Order: sequence, then structure tokens, then C-alpha cells
Amino acid sequence: MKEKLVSVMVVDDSEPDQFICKYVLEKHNPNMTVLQAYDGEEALEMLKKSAQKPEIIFLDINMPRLDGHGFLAAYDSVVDKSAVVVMLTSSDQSKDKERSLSYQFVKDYLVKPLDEPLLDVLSRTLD
Amino acid sequence: MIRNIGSTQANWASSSVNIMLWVGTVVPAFLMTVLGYIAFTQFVSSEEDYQWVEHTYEVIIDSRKIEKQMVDLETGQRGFIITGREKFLEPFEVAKKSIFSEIEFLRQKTRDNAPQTARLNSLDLLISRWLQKAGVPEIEARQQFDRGEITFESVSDMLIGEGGKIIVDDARALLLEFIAVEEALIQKRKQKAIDEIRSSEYILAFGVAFATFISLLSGWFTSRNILNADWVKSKQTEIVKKLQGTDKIEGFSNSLLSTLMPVVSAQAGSVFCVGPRGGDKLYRVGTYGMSSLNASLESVEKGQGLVGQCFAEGKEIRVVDIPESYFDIESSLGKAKPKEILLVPVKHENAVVAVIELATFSKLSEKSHSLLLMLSESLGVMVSNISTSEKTKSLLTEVKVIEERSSGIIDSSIDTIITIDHVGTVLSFNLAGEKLFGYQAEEVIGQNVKILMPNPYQDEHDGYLKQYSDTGEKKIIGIGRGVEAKKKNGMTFPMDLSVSEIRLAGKTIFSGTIRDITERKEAESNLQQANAELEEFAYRTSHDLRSPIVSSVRLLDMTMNHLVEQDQDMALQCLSHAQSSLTKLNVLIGDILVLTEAKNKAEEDREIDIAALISDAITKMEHMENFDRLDIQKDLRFDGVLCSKEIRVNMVLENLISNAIKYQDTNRLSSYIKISTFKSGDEFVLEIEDNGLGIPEDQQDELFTMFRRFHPKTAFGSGLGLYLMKKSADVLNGKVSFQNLQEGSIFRLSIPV
Repeated sequence: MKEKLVSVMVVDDSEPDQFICKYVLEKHNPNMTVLQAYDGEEALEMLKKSAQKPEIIFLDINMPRLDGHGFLAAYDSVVDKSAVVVMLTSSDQSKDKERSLSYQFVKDYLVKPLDEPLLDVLSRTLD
Repeated sequence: MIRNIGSTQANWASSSVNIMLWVGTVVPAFLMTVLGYIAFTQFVSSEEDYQWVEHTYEVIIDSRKIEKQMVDLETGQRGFIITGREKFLEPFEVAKKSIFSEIEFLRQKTRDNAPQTARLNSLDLLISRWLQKAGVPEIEARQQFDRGEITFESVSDMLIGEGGKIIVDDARALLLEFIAVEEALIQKRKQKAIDEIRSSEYILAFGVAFATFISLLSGWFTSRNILNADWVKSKQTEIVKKLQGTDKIEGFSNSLLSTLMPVVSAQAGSVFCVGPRGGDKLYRVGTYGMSSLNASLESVEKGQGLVGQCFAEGKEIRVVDIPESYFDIESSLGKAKPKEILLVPVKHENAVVAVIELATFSKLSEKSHSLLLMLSESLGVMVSNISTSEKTKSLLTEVKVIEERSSGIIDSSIDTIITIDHVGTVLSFNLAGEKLFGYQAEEVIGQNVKILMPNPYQDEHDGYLKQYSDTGEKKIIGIGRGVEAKKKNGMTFPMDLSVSEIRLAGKTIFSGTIRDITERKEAESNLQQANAELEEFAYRTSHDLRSPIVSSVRLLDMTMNHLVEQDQDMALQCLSHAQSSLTKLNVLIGDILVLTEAKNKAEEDREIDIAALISDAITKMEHMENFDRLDIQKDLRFDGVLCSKEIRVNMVLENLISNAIKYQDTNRLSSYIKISTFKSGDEFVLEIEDNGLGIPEDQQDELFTMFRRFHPKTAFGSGLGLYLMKKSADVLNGKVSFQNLQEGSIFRLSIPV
């Protein structure tokens, strides 16, 4: 994964969380491109427009405009689902977890904050 | 002397008629048969007698023949002896030849009579001896003389000897005796036959007379009985007819007594009857010809006195020889003891329902007695009918009272109560129903209850009723359900309906109790909403409170690492993010506190200087970012007195102004806020217009719900502001609303003045 994973997207409205996420990911792989979207709507737009397609989307749930659940529903109807989604949220409610994981393309459900051991586990899961 | 007659018999009179008819037919018939037999045997016997008489005559004739032969014997012999002519010997010889066989023949005929047989035996002996000693020797002597062998003297001596003559005389006497006996026998037998014929004549004559008498007697008795039975029947019919249509037991009894007493020649009487509810007590319900003293007895227990005894036994009681202490029958002329008292039980289906008691001066005639017995049978049904009808009447009265009482209860009920029959026709509709549905009871009663229902119930109700009557499957009965009802004006409302089934006299009716639960439903939905909000609130706070802390901890950890690595720049960046996280947390906690306070704080209405309030609010916002860019306009046209809860009004006002400042569109050259107050109808209106970022159209529905933020990266709201505003407006009985503009938006607070 270290080598393969070159592009990820972080969808989160919280500046500090975006900062933490980007730092951890870049530390993991300095060559990695981290796309940052501040809500679901922006994420969808970026996916549409951006030339560089991310391999993984880290998705928060509570966001203005279009929240995580809204994004998943919208992404479900997108034809090109080359990116898998990993939830990254501070909500550990089972309701949210079940709802998210019901989508085939949602591979994991992580609770913030993202750190390196967590990322290693994720790497093994995705491999 | 008291005498029990035994059980009463309805066909008493007719059975006695039957007996008499039977006696009148059978007895003469039997007598005739017996007499016929006797006469027949008498005739047979007398005929036998006549045969015997004939036989005796034959015997006598045969005796006479023997007598003649004896003469022939004697005269023939004598003629020969005297004349010596052979010619005289002919009859002698003939008689001598046949006489013994004749005697034998006769002996055979009379062998049942021993003395006569003996006589014939003697006769036989005598004739034999005569022939031997006189007859034959004398003829031989004459022949010897003729031949000259002997002398005339010796012949003559022989004849003079007279021995022969004695024997003949004896024989003749014997034969005559024999004939005399036979003749006497004839007389005797003739007499016997005559006696027998005569006696049978007597028997026949007497027997016929006796049978005729019996027949006449039976005919007389029967006709008398038939006449009596006719009398009894007609009187019974007359009395029963007179009593028909009486519906009160007292009237019935008095009418019965006044009709019956003269007919049976009784002078006093009473009727006792069981109470309307049965039991072991009889009540006096009618009297006739009795002084008030005697009539004072109102009721008797079973077995008490003669009346009670008659009641208990169900048998009639007849009393003759009235004791001295017994009551007197009174009239203005005087008083006297009755001669006879009769108590007759009146029965219905084997149970005594009444007792008729009556007293007479003279002995009660049999026909009167039988009339009473007959009457008691038909009266039983009538008494029982009256008692049933009285019972029914009293029940009806009770039912009426209950009905009035219950209809009072039903009408005073707060709940609507409707009763319907098995096909849904409304039978009753109470006052509460009139108020609730807007119909008058008369408009609904007789209609199908469907008119009170909206669809789908209206279309399906017939089906429910039918299904219940066919299968017993209940939709609502006994369950109670929340369904909808329709008022006369077409409005529907939620109701609580409970239906119970009532079975009355084989008919099924349904009673429905209806309560309008509009208010309850509203309260329920408010409560549900509050619950949902509370849940959302708990979920959101747990998330939004935790999230900045988690981030800050991580950031501080990173700061420490960077400091160790002596990367001061990164350390500062981390600290700055941690600070912003914690600031956001601080704001959130502040908002939650305000919200909690706003929800719980009770505040009195007071007069509000809205202009001053607006000025203060603006002053408070001066330190906010980009405040100076804004052109703040005021258009305060409201000149009335606003009386409301100042803190809450201020909360809404400050929120609206701060939102307008926060979400201004900094890309514009000029941004403005326009604050207006005015009166619209009965409402005070506060409007805040801006040309800021506005609200994305697809998200306006969620505008006033908790934790909604619409502008990422712009400001750090908690998402509680608008929700808080709406809650405050609710407390003020007002409304916050939003209007989208081409550029920007208008938020409006309206409060009733």
C-alpha cells in the first residue's frame, strides 16, 4: 500500500482534523497527494472535476450542507466508484456504523483521531 | 267434620255420565242374556217332561194290550171249556204266544222305574202260574172229556175249584195297579212341565221389567247428568267470558266472586292469590259478602289455616258441620253460621296459583261443586296470565325507570355515546355527540352510522359489521381504537373509540363511546418531537463535544513531538489548531448553556423598548469580524407598546444580527443589514434583511432544526442558533420565518401584541 497509495481524499469540515489527517498520511507516505474537501458536496464536486482520482476517501459524518450519509448515498449512484471509502469520524454510534457499512464500497469504520498504528491496520485490511 | 274429596277431576261429571250409560246398557243386556238362557233351559226341560209323558202313555197303551191279551187268554179258555169249540182256543193261543214278549217289551220301557219293573215281574209269574195251574190243564181236561176219557164231574170239579180265577184276578189287579201308577206318573209329569213353563214365564216377565227399569233409571240419570254438565259448561263459559280482559288480579277476583257466588248459591267467598313474584305466601285479592272484620286477614303462609292447607296440598277441602267459633255470614238482617265451606285450589301447570274459598247456607249442589272444579282448571291459566302481565308491567316500569336514569347518565356523559343496531342504524345519540359532531340527535338517529365516518371507514364499515356477524371477528369491539371521525361540517378529528356489544332479547346492538383526542394527539406529537429533539441533542452534543477534545489531545501530542524534534513551526501550527478546536468547544458549551437556560427559564411579560434593545445589540456586535464593512440601516416603524419576555426577544434579536454579520458575503463590494419593526395586523414584526450568503434552497427545510450549519469553512457556529431562535419564538407564542431574496435573505420574528 505504501507504494501504491498515492492519492487520498479527506472529507471533513473540521480544520484541526484535516490538519491531523494530512500530517499522519504524509508522514506515512511523503509522496502521497491529500485532497481536502470540507463537506460532502465539495467532495463530490472535487471527484467530478479533479484529474487525480483518489484511491481512498476518508469520510466524516457530521458536516454542513451534505453530511457523510448524504455523500454515501450520492456516491452510490456515481458510475465510477474506483475509490473505496473508509469512515473516519468521532461518532462511535452503532447506528451510524451499521448505516455506513451497509454500502459495499465502505471498507472500514475508524474512530478519530487517525494515527499511524490505525493506518497500518487499515493497510492490512485493504491489502 | 272435614272431609278431603281427593284430587279434582275436570271430567268428573262426564265420567259419572259414562258410568251410568254403561250401567244402562250393559246391565239390561246381561239380564236379557241370563233370562234367555234360563227360559231356554226351562223349555228344554219341559219338552223332556212331555217326552216322558208320551212315553208313559205308550207304557199305558202297552199295558192295555197286555190287559186285552189277558182277557183273550181267560175268555178263550172259558169259551172252549164251556162250548168245546176249537174256535175259542184261537185267541187264547195267540195271546199265550205273545203276552210274555209284550210284558218283556214293557219291562224294557220301564226299567228305570224299579217298582213298576217288579210289578211286571210279578205279573209275568202270575200269568205263567195261571197257564200252568188252570189255563192249560183245564183245556186238556175238556179235550179228555170230549174224547170221553174223563167224566163231566171231574171236569166240573176242576172248574169249581176256582184256583184259576184267583190267579187271574190277582194278575188283573196287579196290571191295573201298574196302569194306575203310570197314570199318576203322567199327571205328575204333566204338572211338572206346566210348572216349568209357568216359572220361566214369570222369570221372563220379571226380568224384562227389571231390565226396562234399569234402562229407564240409567237414561234418567244420564240425561240429568248431561243437563248438569251442560249447565256447568255454559256457566263456566259465561264466567270465563265475563272475566276476560281483566288485567288486574283484584278486579279479576272481585269480578269472579260476584259472578260465581250467585250461580253456586254461595253467600260469602274470598280469593287468595300468590304474589307477583311467586313464593310461599297467598294474598287476599278479592272478597264477597264478608264483613270487614272477617276480611281483615291479608295474607296466609303455606300450610297456615285451611287456605294455607289447601295451598300446600293442592286439594280441595270441604267442611260441613261448621264449628261454633267459625265466622258468621252477615247481612243487615242478621248473621248466621254457614252450612258448608269449600276451598278449591286453582292450579296452573301443577302449581297452585290461587285458592277460592266460599261459604254457603245450604248444602252445595253437586253441579255447583263440579262447576267450581271445572272453573278452577280454566282459572289457573287466567290467573297465571294476569300475574305474568302484572309482572311484565312492573318490569316495564322498572325498565323505564332504568332507561330514564341511564339516558340521564348518557346525556350527561362528557363522552359521545352512540348505539347502533346490527346493520349500523343509529338508535341513540347523546348530547355530547350533538356538541362534538354538530348534528342534532334527530338528524342522526335512523341514519347509518357511516355518516359520522370519513373514508376508508365509511366504505368499510358495513363490511366490519357483516364480518362480525358472520365470523365473530372483531375490528374494534372490546379493543378500543384510535380512528377518525367526521363532523357535520366535514372536518375530521382523531377519536378514541371503544365499542361494546349488548345483547338484548336476542338482538345485538353496539354501543360506541367516542372521545375527541385532538388535543391528546397534539400533545403526543409534541412530546414525540421533544423526545426526538432530546435524542438528537444528546447524540449531537456527545459527538460535537467529544470531537474537539479528541482532536486537541492529538494535536497537543503532535506539538510535543515537534518540540522534541525542534520543529517550532509545526509545533505552532498544531497549537493554533488545538486552540481553534477548543474555542469551538467553548462556543458550543456556551450555546448549550443558553439553550438550556432558554428552555427552562420562566420569565414575566413586561413592556419592551424595542429601539433601545436593537441599539444595545448592535453595540455588542461591534467587536465582531467584518463588522465595519456593514452598512446597518434601521427602519423602526412600530409605535405600539410591545409587552413580552425581554430576554427572549433579545436572544432572537442578537442571534439574527450576529448571523447577518457572520454570514455576510465578503465578496461583495458593499454589505448591508436592514433592521425594521412594524405592526402587521395584531402582530409585532421584526425583520432583518441582508445581502449575505443566504441559505441554499435545498436545505431551507432543515433551517430551524438543531445542529444545522450551512456554510462550511465560514465561521464556527455550533448549529444551534436558529433552533434556539425558534424555541424562543415558541415561548413568545410567536414565529420566526425565513424568506429567500435574490441576494441574501430576510429573517422575520412576529409576536402577537
